[in-house]
Parts: sequence; C-alpha cells; structure tokens
Amino acid sequence: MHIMEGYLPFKHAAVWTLLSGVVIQGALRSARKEVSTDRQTLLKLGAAIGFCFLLSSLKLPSVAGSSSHPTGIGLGTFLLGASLMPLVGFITLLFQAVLLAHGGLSTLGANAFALSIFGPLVVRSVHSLLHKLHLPTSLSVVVATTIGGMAVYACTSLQLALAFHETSEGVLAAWYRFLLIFAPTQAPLAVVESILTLICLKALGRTNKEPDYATRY
Amino acid sequence: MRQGTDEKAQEFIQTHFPAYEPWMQSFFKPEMQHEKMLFGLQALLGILLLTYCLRRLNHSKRKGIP
Repeated sequence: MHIMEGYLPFKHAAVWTLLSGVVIQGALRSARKEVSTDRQTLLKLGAAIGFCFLLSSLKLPSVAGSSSHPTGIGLGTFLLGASLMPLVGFITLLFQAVLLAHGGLSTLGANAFALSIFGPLVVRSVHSLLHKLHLPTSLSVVVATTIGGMAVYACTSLQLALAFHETSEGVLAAWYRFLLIFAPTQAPLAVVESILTLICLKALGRTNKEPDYATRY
Repeated sequence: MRQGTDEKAQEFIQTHFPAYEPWMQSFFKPEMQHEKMLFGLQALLGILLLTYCLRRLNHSKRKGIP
C-alpha cells in the first residue's frame, strides 16, 4: 500500500502529512496517559507493532499474478482501539521508508493516514456493528479485519486518484483504475491476515469476552 | 519474481502521466540482496516483539491481572 517516494505532488503530500501529524500527536498523548495508568497498554502496543512489522514484511504472491503484503492492523485495533493505532502504523512505515526505501518520507503522511488512521477506524466500526448484531466473535473479527485491510487500499487508491486523474475522466474513474491495480491482489491477502489476527486473539483468549477497546474508540 | 502492486501503481503513473517528475528520491536504496536481508530483519523483529508481548500478556492473565 505504499505510495512511493515523491509520487504525490508536493501540495498533496503536505496536506496528508499535516492531517496525519495531528492525529499521530494525539495518539502519542493518549498512549502516554494510558501507559501511566495501565502497564498492559505497553505490552499491547508492543504486540501490535510486532504484528504489523511481521505482516508488512511478508511480500506474498497473490492470485492476480502480482505480489503484495498484508497490512497488519487487525490485532492492534482489537487490542488497543483505533485511537492508538496511528502510532503503530507510523513506527512501521518509518522503518520501511528509511531502511527499505518502501514508501518514503514525503509520502509518509499519506501512507500513515491510509494504514494507521482510516484502516483501523473501518475495522473498529465494522466490528462494533457486527458485535451489536450478535454475530459470533470469530466471524466478526474475520469480516471486520478483511474489510479493514481492503479499506486501506481503497484509501491509497483514492489518494492517488486525487493526485493523478485526467480532467476529462474525473476522480471517480481514476479511483476505479487505481482500485483495479490493488484490489485483486489484496483481497486474498486481507482474508489471510484476518485469519492470522483471529489466531493471535484466540491465543490471548480475547475472543470470548468484550473487545479490549470497549472503553475507547 | 512477481511484480508488486506498489510498483504497478508507480508504473501506471509513469505511463499515463509522463510529465510528472517525482520531486523527492529515497536517500537510501538497498540492493536486492540487502533488501531481502532487511525485510528478514523486520520479520524477525516483529516475531520477537509479538511473541514476547503475547507471552507477557498471557502471563498477566493467568495471574489475574485484568
């Protein structure tokens, strides 16, 4: 889901950086407050970062004839809620931008917005909805994580479409064209990621009680 | 090796918007061999951190810490 270094016009990159910067700063403040009152938050943050590191390092071949990697946002969202996830995504993306030249510093804001702000919000919202509908927890975890993983790529496609569209075709048509690049590869990987998320939550015994994020968004 | 979706998107922009020039380049671009090692390092760091934290969280649960 990385938009490569320099592949967003300066103004677009600046807006996404500003937006993400404000949210990440807020997440940092919340994390400090929560860690001081509940030491387990630090362990949950560590688990979320570890999961995101691991999954985003796996470049997997997909059915569409190209390769990509899962997003790794599911576990963290279930353990911490969407409000602390911007920190997790930022650390992972910064590591990849600086050491691996995947993504970039100029596009860090846009990538962080898609991966660590929009994606977790979708996972959290879909899971809350399914939880209210009394769906089995395992099923709601799998569905919410799959949709969240796809949402990350839908957001990346929209960011690219806003920057690169012919005036004659419009943003929506360009969005569709970028979605066609990402979606066929990403859909099976999103399912794989949702199953791995479920395995980790089961290992923690988190699937037979209220979600950890129940007290915050 | 299969082409990544990130590269596909980049290629799409280069083909359809040839006038666009990326205004920033990566400061450090590892060679293919080193890139694989760095991805391996990232995966290793992820596994170590994940297993350590999951074990500690499970340990806390057994001890009755909420």
